[in-house]
Amino acid sequence: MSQPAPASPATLPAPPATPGAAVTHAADQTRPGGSTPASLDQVGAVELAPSRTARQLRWLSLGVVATGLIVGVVGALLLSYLALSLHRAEADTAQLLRVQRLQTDLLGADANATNAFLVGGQPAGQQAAYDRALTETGALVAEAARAQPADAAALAALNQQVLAYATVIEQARANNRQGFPVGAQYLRNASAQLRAGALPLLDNLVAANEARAAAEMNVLPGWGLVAVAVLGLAVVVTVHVWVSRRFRRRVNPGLAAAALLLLALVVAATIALTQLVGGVQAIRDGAFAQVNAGADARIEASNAKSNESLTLIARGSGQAFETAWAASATAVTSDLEQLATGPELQDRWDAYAAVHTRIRQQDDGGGWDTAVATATGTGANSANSAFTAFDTALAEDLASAHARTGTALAGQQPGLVVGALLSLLAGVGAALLGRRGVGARLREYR
Amino acid sequence: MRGPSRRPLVALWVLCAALLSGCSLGAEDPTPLPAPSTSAPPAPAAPPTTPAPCDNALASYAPDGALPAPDALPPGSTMAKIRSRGRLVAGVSADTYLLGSRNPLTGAVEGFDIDFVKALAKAILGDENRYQLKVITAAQRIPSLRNGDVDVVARNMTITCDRWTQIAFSTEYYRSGQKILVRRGSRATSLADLGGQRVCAPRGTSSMETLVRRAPQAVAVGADSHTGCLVLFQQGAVDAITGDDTVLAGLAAQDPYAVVPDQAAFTDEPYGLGFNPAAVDLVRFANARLAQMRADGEWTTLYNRWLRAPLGPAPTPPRAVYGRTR
Repeated sequence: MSQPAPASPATLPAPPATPGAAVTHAADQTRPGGSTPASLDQVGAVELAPSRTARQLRWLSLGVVATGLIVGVVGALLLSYLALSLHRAEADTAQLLRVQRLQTDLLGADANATNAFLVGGQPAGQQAAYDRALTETGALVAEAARAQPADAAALAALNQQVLAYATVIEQARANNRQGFPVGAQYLRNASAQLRAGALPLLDNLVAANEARAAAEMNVLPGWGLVAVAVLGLAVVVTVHVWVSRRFRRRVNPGLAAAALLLLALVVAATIALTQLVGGVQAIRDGAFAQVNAGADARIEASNAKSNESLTLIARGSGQAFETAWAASATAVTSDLEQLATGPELQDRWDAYAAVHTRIRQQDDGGGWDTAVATATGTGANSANSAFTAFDTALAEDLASAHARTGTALAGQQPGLVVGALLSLLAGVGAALLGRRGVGARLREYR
Repeated sequence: MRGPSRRPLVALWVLCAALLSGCSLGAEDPTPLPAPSTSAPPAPAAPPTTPAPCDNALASYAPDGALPAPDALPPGSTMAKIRSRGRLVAGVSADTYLLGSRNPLTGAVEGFDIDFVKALAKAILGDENRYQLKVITAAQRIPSLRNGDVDVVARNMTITCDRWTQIAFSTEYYRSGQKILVRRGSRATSLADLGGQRVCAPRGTSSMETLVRRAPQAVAVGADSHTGCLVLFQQGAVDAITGDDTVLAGLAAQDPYAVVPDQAAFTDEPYGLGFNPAAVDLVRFANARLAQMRADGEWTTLYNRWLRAPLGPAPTPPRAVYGRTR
């Protein structure tokens, strides 16, 4: 602040316009012959040390202006930051959905590949479904890497895994086509590699984006505005007390107006932030929680479907896959409870689970071929149709929960932008009013 | 100086912006990659256990007279129980080409071993298709018999004294021998030539035990099955595979770069059907059925169907040896 610069332009009302460095000298010289204030008898203190008081007043003016500007700027920054943060939470939620869809696609592709193997030959329908899932996977990986650079490394690793998986599946298919049983071994290896290599990456991606979205839905920094405004208010009130004591006037209109403005800012910000906290919490507990639960249910469900096929392929030695199916089924049910969209989804899942139970009974009862027919058929009572009915309904619910999250997050942002502008205005206003208040006293030195 | 110049204001802006962006507006933490799976090198097989000695591993239980008709099974016998269940449950391989493998075109598991399951099913249930297959790995053969998951194991299983202490065997139904499979162009013709090379065999098999015992200088690599070994071979992770000549013939038939060089088998691998040690009546019954198949030419028909092309004309069926008593 102490710049012995050549007379700085008069940005402040500085009655005895003397450069700071020379204040003492100049004041000493001007005092005797200088204009004695008319109200000398009233303002004894000023008479005693007018130059000192003037200097103090100038510093106070500077302090009040700085305080107002700091409150305004910090407030505007904080609220803009909050708005940006919620905007990013929206993007994180979209990314979360993307990586969850990747996971569902890959598990679905694997279920189709294993199913095609179960049926024997190379059924065109399942082949097409597998191809579709892998094509979408490629597009989603590219899209997700664009949307969140922080995911790029993990997505690149995932891409490698998917490529390796697809290569092994092709080897399985080529061998299958020639009637070589080594094809089945390649298929098992591909499935195992997908679970050991790609799924942990996707778990990390889901966890990271969930954590990012949750972290961005944090309103805490907003309270910094209230804190700064309270501090600013304290500074202005202190200056007001100092000035009114020194000049024996009860109220300094400028400073008082600045204080009132800051007080209004504190009150308004507190009310608005309290509402925002409630709003964001409602999103986290509501639509956003539903996105998480719904996506998790979808992943677990496709995992279960894939394990159903693997159990049949293992043909009597698939207890581990059946145990995995049961674990996934429990997870789906608990996710659906959290999703809280009514009993319809649970009913559809139960319908699929009933078909699964029938498949297990058929297989355990020696009817492996019947079980395979139930598992891979597309008729009314097949596992595929029951599962598709569930998965389609769940996908719709998930999309709607995602849309609600986005809308709700976007709904909070305009208020924050307006708030940022208002706090900037309030800060600047307080600065101007405060300067005017102190300036009124300073003018008495002219 | 007089009043606030612009510089402090700018500095303030920058400071606030820096502080805020420091919070989280900057680059996000990159998504962590999972720790690289420290895949342990393929576990070498357990050191060979000292084989349990016995006079004649091939001796099984003699049949109880002629083979009873399916509707005249002794009441209370294991066969009667299987009949009342309605199907014979067999533990088999689904990926040992020619012996027991899944035909990718039809989805059916078929092969030389499977045909013995069919023959047994026909004798007990009167219908060669009333059987249920449980696909098991080599290492699961003995446990699945002992805990009653399957009635019979027909999965190229070598009769040994050691295994007789845990399960029961039928009489020998095929005589195989252990050989090596190598990459086309290799000069190796025996285990001794494979020093320092990576040789694959399925875990828990006599092939693995022989490999570790006879070629300690080779790097033994385990897999779940011989087909698993073929995948490792095709991926360049192993240089050779060792196993029974029947199995190796099935592997070589799937890969033009894999050859079984001319060589003398370095072990005798007499195959038997495995049973629960308590089901002696079922073993006697199976032996009667096998005797029938040797005598009426069915054995030769089965051999010709599966093994003649890769292994040459049918030999005489292995002789049945009886004399075991409990």
